Amino acid sequence: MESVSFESVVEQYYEPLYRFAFSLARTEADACDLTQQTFYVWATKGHQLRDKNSAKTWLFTTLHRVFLQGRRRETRFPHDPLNETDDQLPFICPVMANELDWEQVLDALGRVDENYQAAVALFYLQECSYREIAEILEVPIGTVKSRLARGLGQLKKILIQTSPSSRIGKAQHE
Amino acid sequence: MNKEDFRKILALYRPGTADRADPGFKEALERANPSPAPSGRQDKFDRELGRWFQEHCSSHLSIRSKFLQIPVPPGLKDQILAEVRTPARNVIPFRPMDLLRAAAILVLCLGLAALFWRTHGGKDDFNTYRGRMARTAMQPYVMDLQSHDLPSINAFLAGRKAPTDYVLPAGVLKAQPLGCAALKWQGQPVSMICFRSGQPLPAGGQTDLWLFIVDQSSVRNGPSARPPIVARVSKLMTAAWTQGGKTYVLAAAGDEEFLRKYF
Repeated sequence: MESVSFESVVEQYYEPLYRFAFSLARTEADACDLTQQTFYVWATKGHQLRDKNSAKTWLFTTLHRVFLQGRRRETRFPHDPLNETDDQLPFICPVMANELDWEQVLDALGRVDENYQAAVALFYLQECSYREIAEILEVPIGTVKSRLARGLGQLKKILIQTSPSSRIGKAQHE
Repeated sequence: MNKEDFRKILALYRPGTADRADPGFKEALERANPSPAPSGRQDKFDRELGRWFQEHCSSHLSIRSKFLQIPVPPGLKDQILAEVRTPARNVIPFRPMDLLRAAAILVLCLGLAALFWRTHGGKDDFNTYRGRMARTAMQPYVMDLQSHDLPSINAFLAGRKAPTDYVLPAGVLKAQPLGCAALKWQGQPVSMICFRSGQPLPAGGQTDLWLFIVDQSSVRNGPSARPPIVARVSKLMTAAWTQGGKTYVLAAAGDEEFLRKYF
């Protein structure tokens, strides 16, 4: 097996880690802090990892933990809790999805229940399988899927509500 | 399962990923994708579900592309590498030839390091130091001593062999001391003194002003005496200067106008 240097780990993962951090923190400064803190922890403890294939999961897990530790210290701005999605599945048509810019999507993610945000971010960043997402969030796969179902529903509902040219597509029953 | 059940399953499907091989999606994918029916088996493809699925995949890829458009700050990688001065760590064992190569590289690096230390006197870069101190203020920390009394703070720091022969700017003297911590930077003592300005604090915060003092010789390429160098480091505004053989970094949870009142 090939040896892995710290620099190569940074090179390979700093961009996806930063994007995950930004999805959670939604400011550049906080996302940079999270990313740098994660690699700092890696530099001090990453050598304990024997399987290089676990590096990705280890990094994302660490970043998520650092984020949660920081969040516990802060008072969150109160946000209006969204109602749970109704039985119908919100659906965004491709045309409307194409019209969105990344800031609108991230803004909508920020309005999703914060318990679901990390799962939704990992889902779209697509760096990880469901098993890996479960490891990162330290919950069972079933919990990941239920958080995703709710989180994606909320996200799409917000995007539909905020898009000026939206049309609502709903799952049709025959 | 009915069509709605399959939609709920496929709503979690990500095209172009390992989800394709996930058994949890298998039946739903068979319903949503036309495929030649094996002999003796009825094709399960549902045309309406298939149309919905195609649009779901398109929308998913479009939204995913927005996440990938999140701009990564230029220089972030260099900043990460600069923050961590520890040598590269190997996470799995070397092969014998790798050991020889590593030994040769180590000898070369030791030679270069000796040249470097001789030239630069073993000091570390100021920008890295400033960033580390700012991060210390922003991360969870516990003060070694909580006190409003500066003489008590100085006595504590002296006991920890941290710098106490500092000169406080007139503005900082008006702030209320809260306590201190004795830190280390590259093995050298750093005094961190926490203050409260009297302005409204961020939610959950106790401190909005930090002063870091270190011996000037511990930090390479440090600031000049005056005027202070003002720079934003992440969420904090900082001002840095050198005076009386000490390098000072004053950090504030506010904007530059707020910070300038204190130096």
